[in-house]
Amino acid sequence: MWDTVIGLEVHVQLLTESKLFSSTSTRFGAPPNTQAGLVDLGFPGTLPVPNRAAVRMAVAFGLAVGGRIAERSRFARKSYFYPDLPKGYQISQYDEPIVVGGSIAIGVGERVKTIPLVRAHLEEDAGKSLHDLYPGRTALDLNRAGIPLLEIVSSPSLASPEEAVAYLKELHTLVCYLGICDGNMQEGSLRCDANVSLRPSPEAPLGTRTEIKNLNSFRFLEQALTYEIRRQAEVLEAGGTVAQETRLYDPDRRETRPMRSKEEAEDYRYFPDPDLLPLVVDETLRAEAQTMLPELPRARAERFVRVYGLEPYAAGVLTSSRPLADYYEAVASAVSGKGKDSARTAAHWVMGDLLGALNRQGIGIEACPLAPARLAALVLRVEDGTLSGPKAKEVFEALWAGAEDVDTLIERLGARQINDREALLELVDRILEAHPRQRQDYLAGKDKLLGFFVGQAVKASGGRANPQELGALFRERLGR
Amino acid sequence: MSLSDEDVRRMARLARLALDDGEVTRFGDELGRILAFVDALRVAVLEEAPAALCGPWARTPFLRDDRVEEAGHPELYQTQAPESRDGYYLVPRVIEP
Repeated sequence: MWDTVIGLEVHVQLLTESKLFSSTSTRFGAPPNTQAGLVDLGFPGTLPVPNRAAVRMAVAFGLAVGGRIAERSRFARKSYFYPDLPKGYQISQYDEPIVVGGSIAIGVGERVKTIPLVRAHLEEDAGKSLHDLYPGRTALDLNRAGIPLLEIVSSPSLASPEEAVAYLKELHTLVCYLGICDGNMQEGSLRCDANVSLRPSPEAPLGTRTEIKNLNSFRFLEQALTYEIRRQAEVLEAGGTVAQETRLYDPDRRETRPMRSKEEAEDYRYFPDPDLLPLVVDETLRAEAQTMLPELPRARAERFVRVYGLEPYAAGVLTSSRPLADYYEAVASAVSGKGKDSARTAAHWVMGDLLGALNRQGIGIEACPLAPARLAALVLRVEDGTLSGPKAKEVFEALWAGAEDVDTLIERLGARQINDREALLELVDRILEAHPRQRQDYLAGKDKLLGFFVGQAVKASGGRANPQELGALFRERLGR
Repeated sequence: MSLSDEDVRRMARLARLALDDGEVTRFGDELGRILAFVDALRVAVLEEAPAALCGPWARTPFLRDDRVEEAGHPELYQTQAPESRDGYYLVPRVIEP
């Protein structure tokens, strides 16, 4: 057995209108190079000017993770040659990043583990290279060049692929909550590089690590790490040594492969960018970032447990995105205090039927056609006993499909639960009369048959008879 | 500060420049003189120099508001490119590593 050490570098595309150092658009999916301006293309004589919103977002992230916001940080040039980088260098931050430290808490089974962060810094994205459009040519779309990225570097504190995925999910939720990233991994809004190494025991010095580049889904992250950990273990167990190298994950073959081996260590020749003044975060900017901070997911989940009496699991699901948490909270606050379990019943409906219906239609909670107030009305009718479980589902479907209010639907569908003692007793007697043999068996000690009687009665009532009441009445009639 | 031939060759490699031996000597010498010139700053007495000479550190940086004010004009900019097609810039094929 080996002790696994994983650290992640996550690139988050910041949700600005314009680029980090120029005023061209960051919109996704535009025709090639229609959003690549003179600064992005590195035309001589142009100068970069930092985007205030991008800086504010980086500061908001730093505040949210409890990091130190550098009052003064610096942009540096990272030099390398690749055609998707028109200037021949990327403007990044090196020895003076904007955010230092901080941490992210992740759930590992039942417990919470805190993953310290090393840093977060601002940098510009590169363009996109397309190698198979034209024979013998690489085609360049530089629309992405200059889009602001926040690179978030974790400490090597993740001990398994599962922890790495939990960390990335937590980070994903956080940046979406903060409104600084759209979280769209298919479009590359959040990308991840993983460093991984093995050592014989947690006390041993860190082993030689490999870096897996450009993992753009939770699944690929998990698969790539699982493969790479096994590969390194095999190398070490065969008496070999792991080479420090950069590898790529091939999802089709489910394996990592070395990128071109480097004859010499990378030398990016970082130096402070003479085109840019040091980046100063003053009190005003800090205050602006502070106002961007919403209640963060973990705190909100804890409050849901405390205030609405939810199970931690349900609270976690309901706070997994901000719009979902807002939706639930709108329902819960409308029903809260009316009925003893109303907030929990609301959680049950949001997580069950509502998310199910959204899934079936392939839409997100933002586009939910059912207003929280209407779902709240349904929850109240369940709570006050007007609706039984199965009938409530029927009403929910009608509510989802149409515009009628809950009480109108209950009448129209004849869904009102039968709670009336006399009516229920009549039903009970009818069922007992129709099943004399089962009645005898029950009296002889076959207790399980109570469920059978209730089932028959509910069925005979068209699903409207209150099953709890029926159970009590059957017992009463049968004398046990 | 002086530069060895090896330093010069390394910098040339990083900058993707091919230098012959004569050029290595020549650039080594020229770069050495530039570095010596810059090195003179170390002995300069900066306390009494006007702030403007001491670099831009004290100035409040300018940040831009997040507004889209410029469009790409590929048809215009691509007149400067050696090769382009369908809106793309084309370069000799770079095989993905």
